[in-house]
Amino acid sequence: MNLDEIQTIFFQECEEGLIQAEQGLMALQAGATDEETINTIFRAVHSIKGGAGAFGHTDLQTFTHHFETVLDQVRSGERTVAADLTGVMLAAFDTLTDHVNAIRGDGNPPDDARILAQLEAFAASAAAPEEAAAALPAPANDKFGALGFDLDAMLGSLEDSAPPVESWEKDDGDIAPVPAPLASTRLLVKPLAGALSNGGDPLLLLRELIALGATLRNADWSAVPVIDAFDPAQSYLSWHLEIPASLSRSAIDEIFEFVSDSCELRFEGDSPTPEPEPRAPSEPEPETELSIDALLAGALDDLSDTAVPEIPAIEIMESEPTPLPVAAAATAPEPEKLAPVVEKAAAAPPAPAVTATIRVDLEKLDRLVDLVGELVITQSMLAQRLSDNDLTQFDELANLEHLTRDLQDSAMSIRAQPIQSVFGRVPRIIRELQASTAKKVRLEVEGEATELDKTVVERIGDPLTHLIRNAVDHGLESPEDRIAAGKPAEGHIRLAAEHRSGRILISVSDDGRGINRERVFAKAVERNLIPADAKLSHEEIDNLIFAPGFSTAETVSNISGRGVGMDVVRRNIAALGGRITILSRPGEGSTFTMSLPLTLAILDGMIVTVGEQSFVVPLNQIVETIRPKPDLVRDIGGGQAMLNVRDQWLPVISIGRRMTIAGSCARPTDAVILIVETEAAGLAVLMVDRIVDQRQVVIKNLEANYRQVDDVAGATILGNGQVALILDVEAIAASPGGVAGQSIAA
Amino acid sequence: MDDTSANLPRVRVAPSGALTTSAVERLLSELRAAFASAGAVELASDEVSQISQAGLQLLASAVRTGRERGVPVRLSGTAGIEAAIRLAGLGDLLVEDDAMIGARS
Repeated sequence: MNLDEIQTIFFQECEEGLIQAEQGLMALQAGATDEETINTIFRAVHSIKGGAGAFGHTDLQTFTHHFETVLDQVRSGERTVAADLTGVMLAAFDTLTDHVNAIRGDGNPPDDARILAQLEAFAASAAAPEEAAAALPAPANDKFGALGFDLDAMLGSLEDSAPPVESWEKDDGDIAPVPAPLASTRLLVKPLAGALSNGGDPLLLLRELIALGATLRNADWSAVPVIDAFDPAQSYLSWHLEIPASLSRSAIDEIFEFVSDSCELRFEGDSPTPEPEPRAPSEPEPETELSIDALLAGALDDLSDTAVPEIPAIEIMESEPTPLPVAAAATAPEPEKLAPVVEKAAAAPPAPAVTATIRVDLEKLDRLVDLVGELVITQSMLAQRLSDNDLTQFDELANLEHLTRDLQDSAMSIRAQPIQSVFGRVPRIIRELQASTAKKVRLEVEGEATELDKTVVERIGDPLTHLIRNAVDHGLESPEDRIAAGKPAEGHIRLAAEHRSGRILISVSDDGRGINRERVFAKAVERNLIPADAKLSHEEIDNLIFAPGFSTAETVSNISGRGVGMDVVRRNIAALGGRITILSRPGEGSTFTMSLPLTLAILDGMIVTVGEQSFVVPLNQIVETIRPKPDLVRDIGGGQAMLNVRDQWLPVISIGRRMTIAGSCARPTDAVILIVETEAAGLAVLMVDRIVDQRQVVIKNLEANYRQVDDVAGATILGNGQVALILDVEAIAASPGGVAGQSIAA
Repeated sequence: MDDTSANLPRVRVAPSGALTTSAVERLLSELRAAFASAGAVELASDEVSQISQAGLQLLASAVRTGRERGVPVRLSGTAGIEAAIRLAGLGDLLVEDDAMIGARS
């Protein structure tokens, strides 16, 4: 794994941390004061700080350090969460997000001077005994390089504080007889196997400890093997440090918090502690350093009860090919001196269980999904072949089909992500909008755990942002207007997601003024989008806001009003196979609802034929299928027919004629009619020859494999091996040939 | 220096940039080849800008290998490298003995 890959993981962790932190902060804002909420925010910020330090992102590390200091004061109960503090923490969160974005190359580093000053002011105002420790300069202020020591800076800044090297330099394995300072503690830091393989560098932690006042007494390199047995990813070194009494254990634990599973940290008793005498070879190993052989020989029986918690460390050592460090063995304290260690072990949370999640490269995942798709197709082809030969009586065939479907569902579910990652951006957008519009907004979020395909999640962010901005900018009234209208001064925005009928519905609602239809109509006429005498329903007027270039905003702002928003919103949603609808009531507010497919890789489709060709029509767009009676069809000349669908005459779109397919049905009464629902044109009528089947198909990108083809959204391979084109119903209905919107009332 | 290595060449291994875990991985085969064929090994760290724990361990491993096999190992480098080694508590890597000539300041 190279540095870029590791850094990518760090960025992913930052994203997750930011989501958690924001959720916690929103909960705080809503009045939550429970310990877990505070701890969640603290852990998220602390983890980002740790990663920032490891990668040398000093600005980010410095900022998180200050943020963390205030959070720590809240966590420890030194201060309560008041509205002013929540506001500062939310602003700090926004700045933190900007810092993370900046190091990802997305934007410039934020100017954090003001918010840093506010954080420092809060930190200083808390009269806490540990204030001095908390106010220690951020480690990032030292000029450390991205992955190791910045040597020049080290010479300048650390050499002075470090004890003379000669005082602790001795032969391999020996502990230098440096008198332990009064009221100090000894600490063994031993990175375990895996400490280096995940990109961490324990040296940085060591250096952070030293910066906080710890004194390095001894480095043990006796476990380092000769070059032939050397494994770069293994950790062989360990260090003994002297920890001053002024350095709290919690401060030390925090330094090692994010490597707690890959770094053994052992306090070795309070000082003054006599230096342990080097052990003679015949003496038994100290209890905490028991070898596996000793364990097997039953030495466990001799262990005191209090030593039991140390067993996990032994288990870890068991997996290590390296021998036990001689020096560590020689310097381990006597059992009776282990009491503080054991207390810590007993008080410490249980060792983290094997992680329940793993990170997988998205490309690998997509490849898996693709392969499963191929498997589904192959299974279908096999079933078809067997069916053609009357060989369908095998139970195994049905089992194979079930297993394949289950596998497909499982593969697709791996790609599913909660929409939380998109919804998580909204609070900040709302905060910024409140600041720029002087409107008061209360955000309500529901269904953020709803899962849908990662690709959909990634692409839904921009349309959603636009809808939120429009809701605040256009939908909600000013506080004065709201009060005048008998509403609370604070506007209400509701963001919700839910699964329904195999799709996901995402809605943005406001309790504002609703769409001003007179104004929309007038603006549409002014812009020549509709004739002045057009008779439009409320729904049709509302949908005018999706017309390209339409805007009723009196002034162009950076929030909305350029008239390029809503048409892009609808286009983006349509590109995802979704649609958007509006429900608006004057004076009560508006709801914009996006209906999206759960996945873009699989489609429930109806297989139809036209001439000799097979096509797939997305099932979710088919309202009904009919064989029209002659009295429901009218020929209006030029080969164009109209169909009466429940007293509404709709133009019949012949797929055979449109695609120039020889041998296709010419008359609607001889064909099958599909009534489809489209965003652009409402109901539309498609004419095909025959319905063959209804099944899930794996979507193949036509553009990637061939080129873009009009009226075609993609392709798939049917069970008989034939390639079938997936009709782009929206495009067919919306294009001039589709004569969209030319329905005639009967 | 033992007799067997007297007529063998001195091999210089000169890493550059940050001596990270992956850099150590790349350097390892070069160093192994050096110990397999050299009468003396010089690990020149003049161009090393940063050193991680893995890098320090590699230096320690080279020194240990040299001491066990009687192959003189010279660690050379900038004052910064020397400081990094000392500040990590590994100053005894720089102690001159039969297998160690010492670091250049």
